[in-house]
Amino acid sequence: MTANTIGQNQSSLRLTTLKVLETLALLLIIAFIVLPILWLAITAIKPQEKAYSTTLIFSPTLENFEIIFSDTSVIINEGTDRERGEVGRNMFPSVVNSVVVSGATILIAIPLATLAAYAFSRYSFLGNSVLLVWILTTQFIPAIVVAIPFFTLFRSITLFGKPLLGTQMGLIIVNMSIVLPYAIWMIKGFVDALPGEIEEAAFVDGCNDFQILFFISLPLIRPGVLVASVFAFIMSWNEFLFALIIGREMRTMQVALMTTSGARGIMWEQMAAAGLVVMIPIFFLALFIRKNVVDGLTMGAVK
Amino acid sequence: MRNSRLIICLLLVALFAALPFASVYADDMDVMDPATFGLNPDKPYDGTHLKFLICCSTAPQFASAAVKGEAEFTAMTGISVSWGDLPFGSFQEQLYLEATNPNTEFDVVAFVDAWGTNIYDFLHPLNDFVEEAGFDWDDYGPAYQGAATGLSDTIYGMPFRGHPLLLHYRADVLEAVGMGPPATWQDISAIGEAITASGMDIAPIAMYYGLNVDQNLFNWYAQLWGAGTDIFDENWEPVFNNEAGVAATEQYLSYVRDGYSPEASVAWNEQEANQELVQGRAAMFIGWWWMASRMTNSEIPEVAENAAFAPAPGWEGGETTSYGYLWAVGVLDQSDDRDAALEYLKWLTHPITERRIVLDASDPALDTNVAVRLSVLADPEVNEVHNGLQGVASAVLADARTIPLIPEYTEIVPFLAEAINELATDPMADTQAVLDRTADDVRFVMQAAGYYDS
Amino acid sequence: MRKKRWVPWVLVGPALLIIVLTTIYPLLAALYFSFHKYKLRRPPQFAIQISENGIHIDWSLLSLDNYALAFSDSRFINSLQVTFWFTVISVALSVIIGLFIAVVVQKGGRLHTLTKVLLIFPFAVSPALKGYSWRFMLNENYGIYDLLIDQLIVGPINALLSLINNLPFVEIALISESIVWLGDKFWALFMLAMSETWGWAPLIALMFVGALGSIDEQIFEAARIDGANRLQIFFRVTLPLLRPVILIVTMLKTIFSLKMFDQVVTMTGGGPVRATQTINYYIHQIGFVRSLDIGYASAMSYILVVVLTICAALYVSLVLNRD
Repeated sequence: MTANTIGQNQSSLRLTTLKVLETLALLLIIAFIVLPILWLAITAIKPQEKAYSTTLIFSPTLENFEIIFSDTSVIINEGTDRERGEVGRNMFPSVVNSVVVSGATILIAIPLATLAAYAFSRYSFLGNSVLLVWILTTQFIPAIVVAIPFFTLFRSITLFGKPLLGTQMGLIIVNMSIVLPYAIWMIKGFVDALPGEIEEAAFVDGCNDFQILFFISLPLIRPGVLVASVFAFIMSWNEFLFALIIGREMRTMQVALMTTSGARGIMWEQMAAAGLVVMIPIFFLALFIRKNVVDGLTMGAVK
Repeated sequence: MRNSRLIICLLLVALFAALPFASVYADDMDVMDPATFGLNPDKPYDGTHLKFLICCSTAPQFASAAVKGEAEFTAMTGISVSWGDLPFGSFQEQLYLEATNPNTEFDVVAFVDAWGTNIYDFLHPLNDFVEEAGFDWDDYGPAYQGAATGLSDTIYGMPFRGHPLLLHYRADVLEAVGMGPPATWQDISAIGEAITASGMDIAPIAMYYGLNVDQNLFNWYAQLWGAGTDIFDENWEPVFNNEAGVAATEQYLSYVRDGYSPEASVAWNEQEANQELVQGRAAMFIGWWWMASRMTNSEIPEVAENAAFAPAPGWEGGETTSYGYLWAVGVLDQSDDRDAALEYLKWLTHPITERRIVLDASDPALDTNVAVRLSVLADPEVNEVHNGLQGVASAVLADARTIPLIPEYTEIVPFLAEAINELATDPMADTQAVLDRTADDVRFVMQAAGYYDS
Repeated sequence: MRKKRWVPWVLVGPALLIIVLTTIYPLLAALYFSFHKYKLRRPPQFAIQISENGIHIDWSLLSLDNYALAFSDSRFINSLQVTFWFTVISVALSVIIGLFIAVVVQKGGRLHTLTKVLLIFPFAVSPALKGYSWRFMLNENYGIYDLLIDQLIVGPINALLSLINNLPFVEIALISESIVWLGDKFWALFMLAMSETWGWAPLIALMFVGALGSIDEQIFEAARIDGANRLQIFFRVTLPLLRPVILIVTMLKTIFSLKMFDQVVTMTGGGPVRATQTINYYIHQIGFVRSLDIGYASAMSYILVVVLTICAALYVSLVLNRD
């Protein structure tokens, strides 16, 4: 064997070791990411008495979901010698609250953000860039500072004879403070990416500003607006501090997770079931906007 | 051990003595007749809707009242009631915010003893109500009376659900080491030593030193009082750091320090510790009596069959003083439907309602042993359904006390709970030093609130 | 190109109005509250009193007491320290692990692509749920993490230590297999930071993957031809090129970490003792749970506003300088 082939063998050996190491690293990363989610999913379908253990041997059940969505007492392990009653904790109203609040938040925020983003991108007006940076910095205001005054304000303001505190409306208003800035920056990114020539041509053809905006530009940035809507939906869905302080007994799902605490401490199998309900829809939404999440979170600062 | 036998004997005597009273509630009473409860038969509040702020409505002790019979109340009065279910962890917060809110929608609120002090100004005094309803105020033990009135004579809430501290234990394990249930806190250590020496694979006791809604103070109070000291003296000076206080605290912490309570108990809350007992990993647990059914309903046959209960221990050579924990129900002064709310309170806290709820064990999800009236606790039929648990409870309640009922106490409690948690988690911490520092913190709050002006 | 000056203002106006109302109003109101004695238990007495006789300002009701109290309150000082250490640990772990993930998954076959897709998953798990699930998995009796840590990390280390202990004159204490993760001051804070890292490291990895993708491949090629090995390329080429992005990401993560709240509530409840009481958590406790002291809570949150304003200024200057 010549020295050359030995060298080649060594380098191919080194390459193989690298490959193996890389695969191991990838598997480790996958385990790191997936394990908590997988474990939650497993616990959600475990019968109550197996939830407090690491065992993987159990017969799957939907009882936990039944309990978190029923109003009355549920008999579990029916027909066995382990038959027991458990009072249901209906979380359905909380699901409705979450959907309504997050839905209404984007219904209000996205049209406004789209108009603003378009203006920021297409017009140069006094204070344009200063305003944009200022909007960027509003995301750094701690949520608790927003929550305290709105809490005291909503206690005294009534709408249709009901104080705003503890209503969906109150929470939607406060959610604007976190959703709008992100949405503006995100949609502005999409408008920026749109070539200006088409609008230019329309202008020459005699369209006015609004005709251009509504008939030319908006249809073109529709995918971007959709992505921003999904992003905003996820943000308000996962929001916790406002929901706790402003939402109060109008519980969103995030706060409803706290109600799985009962006579056994936190009833983990119910928490896991509720957790899945909170998480699954967001999974699909997150996959859908996978490529844009980073831009959204950093408001386009990392590219 | 001899003590506990004596108590049980006394109880039996008390039970028979109470028999004549029991006949007051004959079963043929018509629970659909407003007159039975002293309710207004003319339905003056027909169509009124009340909102009731309460925690944990899925817990049997609370759920039982909502499910059992509330429809009957509505049928009799035309008043409907909806329960605002809140998790225990955020209940205190929500209670303050709703009660102090001029626009609140709630009419009726439940509160735990000291929590009430912050909202006394917003509650409707109930002295006239008690008299008018013909309720016997002395039907509640001293701890519950105190917790419902604060430092004054004004009744702010009607006792609704209440809990004495109970020792939950495994009769088989204690028998195996030749011991009976501990009569004193010091006995627990002796039993712990015996169980450890026997090599049995079970923790002698499951304590809870974790920070969770201040539950780690429940047992500490009892030991503090037993050792002859208190949180404050009569001048509101903290005294829990005096010699007796340090001794009580060290005794309280000795269970985990000596290895009789699992190391993890430094982070447990009451429910988690109870779960150890229910799962057969611990032989003793001291906590509220409503948890008794958790043990008797355990999935592990050994645990369920050997479930036994005794009064919480006392202090060797000192007193046996338990903490009586009270959920009271009050009516908000600003409620638009205050009179309807009082009508509801009359039904909710009526002895017949209370008795019916504990007697009915038909639905396992709603089965509860919790009653607050001495007459119901002494009722032989009730005791028969719950294996004499109520008798044990009355014995504990006779000497039970309540915590300092001043608004500042809710600000002080986290200091105390943190001190206990710190002493439990940090083996190097010096008990005297930590308690002294905590006393300084407490004094600071009391000073700011103007307690030491004179 | 277009002339009408009022058009952009019409478009920006509504959004701007809402942002001003939902951010500037609370900032001013909280500042105003912070100078008052304002507990929820009693109706507040504000300095600015509006009546039929006009506006009257009662200066005696304004004071800096709440700010003075903050700096003499050992619990507030503690919350500053906790937040500082939480931020340091979580930012360092998130950025380092994020970088590691990015470098591993950046190029390659199907497994790499799959991993890249999975990176988005933790973003879908809300912080509140994250806290609960980590608390569950760290349980010393039935937690899967506890089991894995004992089996895969503590076990082998102890086996190694026992081997070493067989040597004469050597006696090293073994690691306890019964650490109560959330019952120990250090581990509780560390695990809180780990749960945050679990949520953020994959996102940060995605940010780095994007940045790595935009680096000209020829630069790496040139380095390889010069005979540099993988490690050398990483430290001499990749890191310096990524430096601006790393700085921005670090600053961004720092800001998010300083605002930590959700997981403290659901995972540790601030304990053990006060080891995980972050600023936001303590403010919430004072304002809404314990003393109901809105004045004091506002003052403390203003101190947080000052800290975050400094960070925000740094962040903005980093972002602007990059362009």
